[in-house]
Amino acid sequence: MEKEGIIRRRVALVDRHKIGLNAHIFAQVKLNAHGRANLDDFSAAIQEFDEVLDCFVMMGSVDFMLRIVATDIEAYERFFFEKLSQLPGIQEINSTVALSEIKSTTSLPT
Amino acid sequence: MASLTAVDIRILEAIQKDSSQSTSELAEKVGLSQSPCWRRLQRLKDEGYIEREVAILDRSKFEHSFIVFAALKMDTLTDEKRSDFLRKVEITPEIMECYSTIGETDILLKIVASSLEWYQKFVFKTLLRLPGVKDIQTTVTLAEMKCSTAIPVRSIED
Repeated sequence: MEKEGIIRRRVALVDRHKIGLNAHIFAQVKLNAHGRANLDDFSAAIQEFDEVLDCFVMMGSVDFMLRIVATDIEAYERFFFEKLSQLPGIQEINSTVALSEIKSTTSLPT
Repeated sequence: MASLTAVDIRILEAIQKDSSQSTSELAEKVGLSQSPCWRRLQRLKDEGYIEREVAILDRSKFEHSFIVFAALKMDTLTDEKRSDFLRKVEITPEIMECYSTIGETDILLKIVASSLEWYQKFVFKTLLRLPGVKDIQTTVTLAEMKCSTAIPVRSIED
C-alpha cells in the first residue's frame, strides 16, 4: 500500500498540550477581489505559517477555514494582528475558539 | 516542558514529518549519534510528548471524497445524553474531528463525505439523531490548501 501511494506518509503525532499549545482556533477568512485575484500569494503565506495546521477552500459565504494552534489566546491575538490580518487581500476574519477537543483522528473511514 | 532541549525539538520536528525513517537516518538529521538519539526518542515517547505514530492515507485513492464542516446548535444536555452524544461521535468513522465551540453554534464537526447524496442521508440518519441536535449548518469544502499533522514545536522557545 505504501508503494501504491495509498499510504501517503507515516508521521508521529505530538501532544500539543505537552508542548504548551493550549489554544485551538478556527478562523474563517474572506478575501476581497484583490485577494482572490492573487490566490497564490495567500496560499504561499498560509503554507509558511506554522501556526496554521489546516486550510480548506470553502463553498459559500466564506472562502477559507483555517485551523490554528497557539500557546494561548494572547498568542493567537498576536498571530492574528501581526501575521494573519496583515496578509494582502483579506476582507474579513471570524475566529471561533474551540473549547474542547471531543474527537480528533487521522483515520479515514474505510 | 522546560525539559525539552534544542535536539529534542529537532527530533519532534523531524518525526512529525516522517516517522518511518530509521534511527540512524534520524540521528544524522538531528546531529546526534545513533544510541543517544534512540534514547531521546524513547524518552519523548515515555513522557507522552509523542502520542502515537500513524499512517496518513491518501484520500484521493479511495473514492471521490471531500470534507464538510457541520456546525451544530445544541439543546442543553443531561449528563446521560451528553455521554451518549460523545459515544456516538466517537464510534462514527466519518466524523474525523469534533470540537465544542463558543459562539452561535456549539459543536463543530469535520466529516469526510463520499458524495452530496451520501451526506444528505448522513444528516438524516446520523447527525439529526445525535442527542440534542437542534440545527445543522453545513459548509462544503472545495479543496485542501494545507493539511498538516505537525504542530509548531518551536514556538515554545519564544
